[in-house]
Amino acid sequence: MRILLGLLMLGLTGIAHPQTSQQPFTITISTDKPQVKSGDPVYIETVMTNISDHDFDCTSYGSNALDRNYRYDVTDEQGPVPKVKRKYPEIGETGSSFPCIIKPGESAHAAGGLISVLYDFTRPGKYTIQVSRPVWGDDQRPGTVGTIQNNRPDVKSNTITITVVGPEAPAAEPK
Amino acid sequence: MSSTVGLEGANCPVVVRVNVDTGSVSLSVNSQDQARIKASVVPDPSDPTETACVTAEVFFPLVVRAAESANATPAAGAAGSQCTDPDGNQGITVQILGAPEIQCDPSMNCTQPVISTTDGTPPPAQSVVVGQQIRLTTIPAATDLTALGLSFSKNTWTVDGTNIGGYPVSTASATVTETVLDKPDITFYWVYPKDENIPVTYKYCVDIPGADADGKCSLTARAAFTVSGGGKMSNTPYKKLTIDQLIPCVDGVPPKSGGTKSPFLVYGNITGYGCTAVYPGSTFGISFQPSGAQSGGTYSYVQLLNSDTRTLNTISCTTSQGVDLSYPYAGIIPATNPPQAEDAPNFGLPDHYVVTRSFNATMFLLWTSNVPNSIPVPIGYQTWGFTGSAEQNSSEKWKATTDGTPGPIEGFKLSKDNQQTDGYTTLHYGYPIWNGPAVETCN
Repeated sequence: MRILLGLLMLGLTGIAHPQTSQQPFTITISTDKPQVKSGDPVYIETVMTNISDHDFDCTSYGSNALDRNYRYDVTDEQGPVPKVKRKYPEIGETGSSFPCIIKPGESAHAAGGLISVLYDFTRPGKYTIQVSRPVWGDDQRPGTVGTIQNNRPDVKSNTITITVVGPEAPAAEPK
Repeated sequence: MSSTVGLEGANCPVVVRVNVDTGSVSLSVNSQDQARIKASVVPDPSDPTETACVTAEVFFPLVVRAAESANATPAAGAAGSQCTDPDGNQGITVQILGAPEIQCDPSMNCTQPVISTTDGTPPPAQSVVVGQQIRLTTIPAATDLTALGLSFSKNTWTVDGTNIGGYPVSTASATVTETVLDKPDITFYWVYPKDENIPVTYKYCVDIPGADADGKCSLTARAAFTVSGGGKMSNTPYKKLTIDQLIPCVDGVPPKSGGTKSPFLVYGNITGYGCTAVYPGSTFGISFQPSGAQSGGTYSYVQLLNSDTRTLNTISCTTSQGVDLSYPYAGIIPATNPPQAEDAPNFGLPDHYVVTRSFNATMFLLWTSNVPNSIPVPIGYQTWGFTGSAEQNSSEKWKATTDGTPGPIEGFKLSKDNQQTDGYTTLHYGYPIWNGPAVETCN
């Protein structure tokens, strides 16, 4: 019986999100190219799903090809991957805010984008990517869940793996 | 069923008959010269693919070749082989190629399963919408021919109207694929509506050793479609660049508490945070309103950045051409139906810099039918932009300057099949295409 339970739990870990039922939304990330050549762009897609009984804020902020309203956690076999150093960090980047509301039970394609603009994926190896987002809404928008000032834990996505191969290796076909 | 034709030849009369097991055929005979006659066997549209037996009552050196009518050939593997008709006459076996039929995939809800004719009567026009998947199959199928020991040597479709095989699209790239016209079945999409019927034809050929070119190919099946669609887009531009005081975000998200407002140069007039404008309460630099498309579909947008240059004292930043952040465009104004798009480009102003910005983008409006398996089609596009600058006065208060009139550049352009550019990037049949998102580089 104990063995069976262990097997069941093992089977579930592949699809489970590290989120609890109290969280008002889920984040699912994916990529159409799980294997890329060193130096190739790395894209991720993010989908937010409202599992609460309220409207929810899914605003994205597009800046330099990536939705910056998420926190991105990228690691490789050697640990956390540092962000790409910008040449002039003091001047900031351009961007546009895209207000967004998800109705209960609905999903929103909340941008994602070119994550390789933020992290260096040139070193061959396996990279894991997870994104998170605070639970925040807008005090001026009745019906949304929470406010920016709340203390709820961030909602975390599933984790995906990107394999970066040397430039001489053939890249895998998209899934 | 048999058909008989008599011919008064130069030397002697000849009676030629053709006999088939199913359906009916017609026969014509003419004298090639004193030693040869030519018999043409024409199947009725309903005649299946089968063999026929051609006999001549007075036999002289008779060679039955592929028929001029393009529908009968010496039977596969049996060219010139002997056969006997029901009256006991000896003859030569020929292959009848059944008239093809074009059939609608059930998902298309056509008026009837078989939508083609081959006898010259007008086919029943089928009503579809732009972007709807047109999936047609044909009879005979390859398996039908295989059962008779035959196989296709060529399949030929003609499709009028602007049609494509697909629009594979993602943030990473967008391309248009051509319709494949040389397979027994076909899947394609019409991109633009057309007032009159759009014809589609199909015929097939079978490779039979010994047959001439005409005799290898079937009659032509003809179908017709009416394609509806349409729509347009208007815009509402803001009149100037603004210095807005926004709360900067921390690590890409609003701070969980507090935060001190700082200046941003904004096309529009927004409130909130540096990474999220409050709406309602903000006025975007430009918003786009779609209209005119038929019900039963949804609008979407694609924005391509054509150029975006900034200078900050001696630092110069340029942006590559590409899709703006992601596909489809994410800037949809909440609670708008039909969905309206917006943009309010901005960036935080660093102290003691003189900044300029010149921005140019094209917003494309697309429409996707609710019919399953439909793809988006372009309705039209609007190029827009702004140019301006900002600097601090002696008391470090920022002032924005707007050059010219921001907003739309020229008018809304309806998408057309012959558009190869919007003036900035390449179009394909009017579709926006790209190879990745726009990325800024500073030097």
